[in-house]
This record gives sequence, structure tokens and C-alpha cells, in this order.
Amino acid sequence: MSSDVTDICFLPLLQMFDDQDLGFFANFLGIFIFVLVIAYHFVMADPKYEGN
Amino acid sequence: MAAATALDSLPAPLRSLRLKTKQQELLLRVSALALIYVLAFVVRLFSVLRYESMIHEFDPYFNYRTTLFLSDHGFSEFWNWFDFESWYPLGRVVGGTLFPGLMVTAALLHRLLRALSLAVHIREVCVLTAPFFAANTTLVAYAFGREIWDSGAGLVAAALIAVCPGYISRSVAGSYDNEGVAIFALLLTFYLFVRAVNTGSLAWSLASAFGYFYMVSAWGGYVFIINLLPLYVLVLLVTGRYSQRLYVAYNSTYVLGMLLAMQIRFVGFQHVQSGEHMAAMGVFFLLQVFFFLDWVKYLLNDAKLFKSFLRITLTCVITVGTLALGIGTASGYISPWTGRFYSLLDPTYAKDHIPIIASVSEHQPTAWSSFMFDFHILLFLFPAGLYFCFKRLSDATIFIVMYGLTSMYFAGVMVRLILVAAPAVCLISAIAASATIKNLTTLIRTKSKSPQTVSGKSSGSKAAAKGAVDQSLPFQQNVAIALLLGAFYLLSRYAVHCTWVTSEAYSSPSIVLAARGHNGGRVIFDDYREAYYWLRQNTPSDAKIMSWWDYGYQITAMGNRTVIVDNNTWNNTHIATVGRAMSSYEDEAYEIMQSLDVNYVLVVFGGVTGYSSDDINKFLWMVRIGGGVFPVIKEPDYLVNGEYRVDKGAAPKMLNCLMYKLCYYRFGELTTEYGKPPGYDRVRGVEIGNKDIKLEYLEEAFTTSNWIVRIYKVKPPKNRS
Repeated sequence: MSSDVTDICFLPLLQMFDDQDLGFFANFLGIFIFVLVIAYHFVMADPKYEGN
Repeated sequence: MAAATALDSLPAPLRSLRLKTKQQELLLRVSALALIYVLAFVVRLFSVLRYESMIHEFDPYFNYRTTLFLSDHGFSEFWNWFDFESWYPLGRVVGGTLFPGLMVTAALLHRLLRALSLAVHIREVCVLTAPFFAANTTLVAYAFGREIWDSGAGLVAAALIAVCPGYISRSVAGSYDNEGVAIFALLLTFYLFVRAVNTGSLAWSLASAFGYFYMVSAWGGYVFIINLLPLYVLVLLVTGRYSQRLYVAYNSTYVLGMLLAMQIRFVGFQHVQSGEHMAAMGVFFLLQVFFFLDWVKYLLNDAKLFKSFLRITLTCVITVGTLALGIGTASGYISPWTGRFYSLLDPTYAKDHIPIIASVSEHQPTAWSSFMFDFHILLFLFPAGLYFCFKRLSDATIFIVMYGLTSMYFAGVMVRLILVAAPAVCLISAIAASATIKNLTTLIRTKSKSPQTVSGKSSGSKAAAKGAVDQSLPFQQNVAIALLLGAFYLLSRYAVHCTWVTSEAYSSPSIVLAARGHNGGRVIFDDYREAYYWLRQNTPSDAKIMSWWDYGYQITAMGNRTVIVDNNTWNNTHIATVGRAMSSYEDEAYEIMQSLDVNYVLVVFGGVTGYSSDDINKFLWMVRIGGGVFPVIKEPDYLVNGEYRVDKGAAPKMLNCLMYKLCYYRFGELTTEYGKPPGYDRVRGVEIGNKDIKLEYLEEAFTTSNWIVRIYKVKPPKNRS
């Protein structure tokens, strides 16, 4: 009984990572990377930054 | 300010976590690069998840077969391999007619993984080689962007190239082709060369030469490098940018690169004998003249005397150069430009002179929609980037401008060369995007001076004017924030577009076909592999298979049988013979097949499934290529009033030629679509014209479950009476 419960709880995690999941992941990562890139430029624009 | 106050109010242990600007910059840079690396790899894995881990398309099957051979037999045997299974009865000297870079790279990676006790099959390594190198390319793009502009541009360039569809189209998992590693090598060579020019360092120049060697070992596109570098040097010389740095960089790269490239058997002595490589040699000698003149100028120290010396030297050099080139060309020592080279410069050349190049769809001129599809916002950022480059002209920006403009021209000539333009477009667009974001963030972070302060200090007219400017832009920061959000929106749309294109357009293995069924579900057609495995299991091991050249590599790699022609296309006459057999009547074709010892004929037919890349649609190219060598084959014989038809109104020769018979044999009995008569061709959308096909010299041996591949056995000759 307890093993059944465990199976049900972990079922979504144990599902195969399919191409739709990959599409979501790639979109998310792509957008997040551009957030980081803009954040990077924001930090670089700090008037106190030694590099400027 | 508010954020800073909030941080100040934090307890001391938490406050110690606050990073300095330099640390923040490092953290953001490294994490962004790491994520870009991961993204570049995973975005190319759609086909593996959707289908399985397999090699795609046509050429990669040859590469896979040779890699397998290399891994099993070692480099020496691979280098001296004579392949009896292709181009029967001629055979092929494989070691001397391929670029071994890809195979050696995959074999080394495989060996490395085995050494690390990872039991991976060589096929998995081959499938993932292109994504791995694409991920590495992002790092090179970052370094290159930093070299020509700044680290911000480098970061944007890496992010853009990681998902650029123009590059992804040739580097998805399973696309085990030369371009997969070659674009990495191309960009690496360019980066190292620009770095060498910027620093004048011998070490960077030598590194660039080795990068060039890797490129030569991997792909025939190295000709682009060996022509772009001298062109770049020439432009620097003409614009008065000659320097010792340039002298060291070009000479070292050229001399060592040339010597190394000669070690590749397929390239051989072309660097000193082929017209396509002469520009590099000419510029090499020109640089020596420049150096010499510079030295004489320093010695003479007299402008008038130097002027006359310059005139005499230039006249002598031009005369000697022209004479050498003339004698070399006339005596045949320097070979003229090849047809492939001409077809790059002139989009109409291949169509008129080399049908075998023109017949390949990826060699067609590019449509505007393809540019939009493959570059998306980069198409608009590219001209903006050029503007920024011209505004801050340096040796490095001149290089990237030249790379961008020349490669864009070639991308317009051939769809396939979008691949070469992709890195340049990404880099130049990155400059535009980064410079814009930088300007906007600077505006946001600059503390606006309050008008009271300025008016209080209005001692000089200059300060007053500045105050007036500040006052005239009250919403400066707000506008900058809005524009920054707009830029972010565009970039995120780019990321989403790229993922969509990769998933929908560039992740199909083309050996396994997918279509939507009536209920919307995915239907898989695995006919190709079905046919090749049938060949392997049901035909004698020495059987010779005749098919159009497109399927040659796949038949030898998967079917393990000898083919008459394959995708190497080195012998036009041989291909024309097959084209002639396919377009002749059965009895004439039988004679040709007998002369070539053909046992089986394989054709690809899409009339049942609606698969349009079949042999009937390619047939006119077979006629053209066959007719190019054998004038008995005439294209008008297969057309009716210039129209290509397969229905009742088709030309008599068309209805009775071998290709038509083999494709449509027994098709007249089959109902393909509800409400349509039997023998309805779903690709051409017509009822076929010849339903009663009788075969005399061939017999049907195997037809795959969806009729995509049909194999016929050639009957032995009849007994003599």
C-alpha cells in the first residue's frame, strides 16, 4: 500500500522528459539568459565600476 | 538608492553577502555563459527526444560509416582505405577524397569517453558531436565579441549564436556532417587571427594557423577563409593601416597554415597550384613588398628619391606578378577556378553549366522568407551593427564588417551558406544590441542633476546650457526603461522563435518521416530503414544496387551493399549513366544495367503517402544530367508543351521510361484517397496515365509498408536459343 502511494506521488517526476518539455525548458532558458544579459549591462553601467 | 538603504538596514552577516560591482559582473558573466552553453546543447536535442538517437539525412551516413571504420581499424587503415562498395566498378579512394577532421574528432571523443570508463557506442558520440561543438562555438563567439567590441557584446553574441536557426539547421543532434565542427573551426580561426592582428603576437598567429589546419581538415569551406584573410589584409593596406602586427600575423598564419593544410591528402598542393588559393599567395608577396618599401623609406630618408624608387619597384612587382600568373595559368601549373567557385560568385552559373550542383535544393538562391526564418530580428539588427562598427572603426571591426558583408552575399547565392553568414550576423547584431542596451542602462543609472542645483551654480554660460538640456528631458529615465523593456521583449521573441523553428523545421531526421494523421496524432513512416534492412538481410552480400545518387550513402551504410553512384558525385559520367538508364525504355535500360552488373534497382516513391521528395519529382534532373553526357536523352521528350506531367496527357516516353514503370508498377490497382479513382498520385494530385504496367526485364522484389521505397530485382539474361 505504502509503495503504491509513493508511486503515485513520484509519478509526475518519473515521467519521460519529452520534446514538449524541452520546448518549454529552451524557451524559459532563452528568456532567462537575456534577462541575465541585460542585468549584466546594468551592472556594467554602474558609474562606480572600476572598468568604466 | 532605496535598495542600498534596504541593504544597509540588514543584519551584519547578511550585509557581508553583498557583492562588489566587479564580483557581480563576474558572477553574471560566468552564469550567463554557463547557461548559454547548456542552452546551445539542449536546444539541439529535439530530434533525439521525438524520434531516437539516430544519424540524419544523407551525407552523415557516409561520415558515420567512415568513423566506424576509423574506430575499428585505426587511422593508418582508414587513411589508406579503398572502398569497393561504392562507385562500382570504379571504387573510391576514401582516405584521399574526404576531409577527415570530423571523423578523427568523433573517434578521439569516443576514445576519451572509453578511457573515462564511459561505455558509449560510437553512434551516440556521432549524434552528439554537432551539439557539443555548437556549445563550444558560443564560447568562441563570446571571446570574439569581446575582442572586437566589449564583453557585453561578446555575451550577447554568444546568446544569439546559441539559438540562431541558421546555425542550428546544420548542427542538431544526429546531423553528423562536416559543418557541425567546421563552423566552430571557422570562428576560432577568425578569432585567433583578429587577436593576432590586434596584438602582433607570434603565439596567437601560430594558434590561428592551427585553427586553420583544423578547418581545412574538416570542411571544403576553408576556401572562404583563405580568400577572406587576404582580402582583409588588402583592405588594411589600401586604407593605410599597415603595421608590423599585421605583417607578423598574416605571414605566420599563412605560411604555417599552408604547410599544415598540405598534410590533408584531399587538399594536397592546392595552396600553391590552384587559382582559388592564389589571392592568399599574392597578398603574401605584396606584404613582403610593403615591408621592403618601409625599410627602404627608413634608409633613404628622402621623399623624392623614395618616390622614384617606389615607382620602379611597383612597376617591376606588377610585371613579375602578372607574368608569373600568366605563365603558371598557361602552362597548366596553376589550375583555373573550379565550377563550384564560379557558382558561388555567380548565382546563375550552376544552372547553365553544372546541373548536378543546381539539382540540389540547398544550392538554390535564398528567398527572403528564408532569411527571415533563419535570422529573425538579426536581420534588422545587422545593419544597425554595421553602423556601430563604422562609427568605431578599428582593425577588428573592419574584419567583422568584411566577414559579414561577404558572407551575406554568399548566403544570398546559396541557401546552404546562410550557415557561414550566421556567426557574422550574430556578432554584428550583438554589437548593435549590446551598444543599445549599454546606452539605455547608462541613462537609467546616471543620476539626473536637479535643476535647482544647476541654476544655483549658473556661473558660466556652458553650465546653464547643460542645465537646460537636463531640464528638457524630464522623462529620460522612464523612456529609457520603456525602451529597455522593448529591447528585452524583442530578444525574448527571438529566443521563442528560435526554439519554435528548431522544433518544427530543423529537427526532422528525414530518414524517418513524420506526418499528422486524420485524428491529429503523429504518424511515423520508417520505410527507408525498412528497405535498407531488407537489402541487408535478403540480398547476396556482393549484390550491386542501382539507385539515384541521393540514396547511395544510406544504402552502403545501412544496407551494407555495393552501389553504383553515391552522394560524393565526383564522377559526372557515371551519374549520367544511371540517369540515362532511369530515363530510357526498359530494354535499353536493361543493357546499361547489365554492363554495370546491377542486381537490384531501388526507387523512392511518394504517390501513396504524399511524400514529395521522391524520384518522380527528381526525375527531370536525372534527364538533364543524363542528357548532359548522352545527347540521346532529350528533355523535351519527357514534357508536353514544356509541362511535366504523369497523367494521361503525359509524353509517351515519360509513360514508358524505366523510372515511371518502377514507381507506378501495380499502383493503378491501389486506391490511395477516399473519393478518388485507383492510381491517384497524392503528390502530383492526378490519376496516373499508365495503369497497366508490365515489366519484362525486372521483377518486384520488395515494397515497403507505405510504398515509399520500392526494390526490383534485375532478371538474369535469357538462355540463348
